[in-house]
Parts: sequence; structure tokens; C-alpha cells
Amino acid sequence: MTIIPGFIISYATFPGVIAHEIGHQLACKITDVRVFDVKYFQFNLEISGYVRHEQTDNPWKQLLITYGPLIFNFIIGIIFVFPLAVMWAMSSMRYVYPFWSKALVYVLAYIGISCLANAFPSSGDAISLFTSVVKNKNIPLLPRILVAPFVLIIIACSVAKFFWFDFIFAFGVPAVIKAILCHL
Amino acid sequence: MDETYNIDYYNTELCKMCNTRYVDLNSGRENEYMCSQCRQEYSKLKIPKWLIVAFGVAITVAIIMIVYSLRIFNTYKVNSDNRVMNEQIIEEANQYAEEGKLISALLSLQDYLTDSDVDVDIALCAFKIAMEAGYYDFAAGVYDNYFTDAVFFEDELNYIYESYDILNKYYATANAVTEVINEVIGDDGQNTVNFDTVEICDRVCSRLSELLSNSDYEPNYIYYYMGGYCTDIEQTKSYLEYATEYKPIAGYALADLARMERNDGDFTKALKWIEKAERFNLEDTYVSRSKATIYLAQGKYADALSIAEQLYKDNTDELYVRETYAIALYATGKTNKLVEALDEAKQAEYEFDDEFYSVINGQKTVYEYYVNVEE
Repeated sequence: MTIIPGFIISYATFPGVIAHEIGHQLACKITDVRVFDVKYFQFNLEISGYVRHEQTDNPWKQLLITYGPLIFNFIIGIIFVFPLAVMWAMSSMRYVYPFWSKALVYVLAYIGISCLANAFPSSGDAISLFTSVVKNKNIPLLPRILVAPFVLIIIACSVAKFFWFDFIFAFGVPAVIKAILCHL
Repeated sequence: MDETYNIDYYNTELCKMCNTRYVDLNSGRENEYMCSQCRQEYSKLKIPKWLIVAFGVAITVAIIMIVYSLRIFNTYKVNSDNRVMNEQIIEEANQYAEEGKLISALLSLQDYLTDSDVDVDIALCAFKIAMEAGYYDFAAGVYDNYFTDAVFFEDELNYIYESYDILNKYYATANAVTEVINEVIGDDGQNTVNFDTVEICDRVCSRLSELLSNSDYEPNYIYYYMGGYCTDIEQTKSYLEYATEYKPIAGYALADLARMERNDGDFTKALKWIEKAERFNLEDTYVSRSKATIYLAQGKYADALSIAEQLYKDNTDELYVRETYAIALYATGKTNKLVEALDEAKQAEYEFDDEFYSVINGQKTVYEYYVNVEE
């Protein structure tokens, strides 16, 4: 198993990191939670981006803020990798793209793959969700119980990242789109 | 009240953002770290314009590319609507090939190789089957006619390049062998008139053996022709056994070996060679005809006729097919059909040799014709 330090991956996929933070920020905007500070991207070995926002006692708002990047990055990731998926489908039909469009597709695909690889909430997001909801005794028990699995999902995904889950997912999305296109 | 309020809710720590005013705890949050001004300022925080513009441009380009790609996709998909049909054709051909019906496999594809707008997958399938079966002339034809402007995947290209080298070696060897034979025998066989046949055969063999040291040539191909000109039967058999390892002539070599064993009266050995040839290709005319002659020599006339009849139907003009069919008809007593076959041969200006007529006229038995008798 090849282990590449996380910060290198973050640097290499910086468009995805930026989109990830925008995802948090937009979720804050939707839930009317005020944002104090945003770092879309920074050259830092530990945290390459963050969003500091108001604490909220509403568990669903916190859940949406935590999972905001997953929704946002997934949607825009699909938009960016879609041309790649079509190109793969076309190449299976032996169609060759002109050089300029091929190059453009690869540039877009890089952004898309970056977004998809950074779609999953970070372990920091899991801690934030855990402390602000699951561990927060001011919140009723039922929502805390319901949110707890979402924390576990993030932790599971974080562990799976050691096995390149984020990139398998990132490349899997265009592969699935291609398969669908080929069977249309 | 206000003062009390302020004393209660203002922390002694400085705001972490401006570092000049005190942290404001009026928000009611435990870990407040900003003064009220900074809090108000940062609460207005929005996505920077440059980021929105950059993002907007990227999304716009992506959407344009999606529209562009889908347009091509739809156009191309309409053009290749027969893709499913092509897949079925390829599947059918591969099925034939797997069953050892190599001719049927190639024939099933050949019908689709006549148009100018040939599907590359079909051409490639035909090329692969032809290469695997050793039908190198067919493969070379597909290569020359359909591969020039086609688009291939990397693994396919590697296969084509490898096959190209194999074909080159095959043709280089074939040319070298023909050159040697023509040189010794003469283009029109004139030297055979002036010299002793055995001597000429030895000279051909000797000249062919010189080619074996050249790595540009395929030795098993050369062995096949050495077997053809060798005057020592055991040596011939060993040459032919080498030749069975080379696909383009394996069928001929195996059928020749079977014929030699049949001539010696060893039908078990002869049929073993046939069996080996059929494991590779069930539809080799040369092999099937040899099999029919073995059955004729064995007295299994009905079996022989069923093979010969099919051969006559499919490949009337192949070498000795008319003879085998006619003798099978004679052996099974189908006189009317025999007369018909002889008439057809006459119309086609095909001439049978005297030995053939000696069987038909009852001067020689079928067994005598096929055992210890050279065809």
C-alpha cells in the first residue's frame, strides 16, 4: 500500500479543497449560521482549509454544515468529470477527440476528480459534529442518536482513505457515468 | 444595568481577530474569541468575488464541454446504431472459432468486410481469428484493407504490431523458399527434365537447409518444404512433425503425415494425426480429404462419402476433392451420382489420372489405390 502524506494530496487537489470549504460555507449560508472566518486554501501541513462559523444547537443545521461539502463537491464534481466520462464512452466506440478538446476535458477532469476526492467530510468535521451534537447535552437525545451514525460514517470514510477510498470514489464516478452512457 | 451586563459578559481576553478589543461573550457561546465589532465584520463574510468568477468560468466551460461532448456522443451513437448487431456478429464468429470451425468463423465475418465503411471491431476480430488459425493471407488482406485509418486501443496496437512481424517473417520465408525451389527446379520445372528427380530433390533440400540458419526465416515452414522434397520417408516424417508446430502449414503437415501412415497401412496412426489436426481446425479441407481417404482405405465407405460429399459441395476445386468424392461414390455403389460427378469434372475441364480410372474400371481395389500407392 502506497502511503502519500495527506498534505501532498491536499496540495495536489487544491481545487477540491477550495470547493470543500465553499461547501461548508454555503451550508452555513443556507442554515443561516454566521461564518467568521474562511481559509479556502493554505499551505499548511495539518489543515489546508477551514471554515469557522457560529456554534449552533440545531443538530440538523450542524449535520448539513458538516455534510455540505459532500453534497456540493459531489454535484460540481459530476459536472466537471462528465466530459471525461463521455470521452471514455466515446473512446470505447473508437472515437478520438481533437487535441484541444481532449486537453480541456483533462483539465476539467482534474478539477472534478479533485472535488470528488475532497467530497468527504474530514475527521475534523467528524469531531466538530460529535462535540457539537452527539456530546452536546443541551440537544435532545433522539437527534443525538440519529446524528451519531453520520459521525461513524465520516470516521469510516477517514479510515478508508488509507486505502485510497477517496480516489477510488473520485474515479469511480466518471466510470459509472461512462457505463451508463454505454448502455443507453 | 448596562455596566453590570458589560462586566458579566466581557471577558478579559483580547479579541483574537483584532487583538485590541475585549472578547464579547454576548453571543452566549462558550468559546467566543471575537469582540463585537469583529464579530459583526466577520459575520458578513462572503465568498470572494474572484473565487465566484473563477468558479463561474470553470462551471461554464464544463457545461459547454458537456453539451459539446453529448452532441458528438449522440451523433456518433446514431452512426453506430448497428453496434449491437456487430457485437452479435463478433460473438458468433468467436463461438465458431472456439468450436474449431475456423473457416465458418472467417466466412461469417467476410460478408461484413466487403463494404468500404467496415466496422473496426469486425475487421480486428477477423484479423485475430485468421492469425490464430494461421490463415495469414486472410489476415494480411484485412490488415492492408481495413487497418490504415482505423483507431485502435494500445493493447490492440501491440497485438497488430506483433502480428505484423509474424506476417513479415512468414512472407519472407515463403519468398525465400519459392526462390530456392525456382532456382533449382526452374520457374517452369524445366530442370526436372534434364536432371534426375532424386538429385534435384536432394539439391532443393540442401539449399533449403541453408535457409535454416537465417533467423529472419521461420524454420518450421522451411522444414515443411524440405519434407516435401526429401526422398527418405522417415526423414520426411520428422520434417513434417516440425512443420506441425507452425500454424499456417500445420494442417497440411498433419494431413501429409496422416496420408503417409495411410500409405503404410497404419490407419490408427493416420487417424491420430487427423485427430490432432481437427483439434486445431475442424474445417481444413486438406485434413478432411485425408480423413475421407483413410476411411476409404479402411472400408468405411459411408463415412468417407459423407465427408467427401460435403467437401465436394463446399470446395469442389480443392486439390483431389473430385477424385475422393468420385471414389467414395464408386465404393458406395452410387453409380448415377458418379456419372454425374464425372460429367461435372469434364465440363470443368478437370482431368483424372490413369490410376483413378483403374479403380473406377475395377482393375484396382480402393484399398490398393490408397495403401502403398502414391497419389
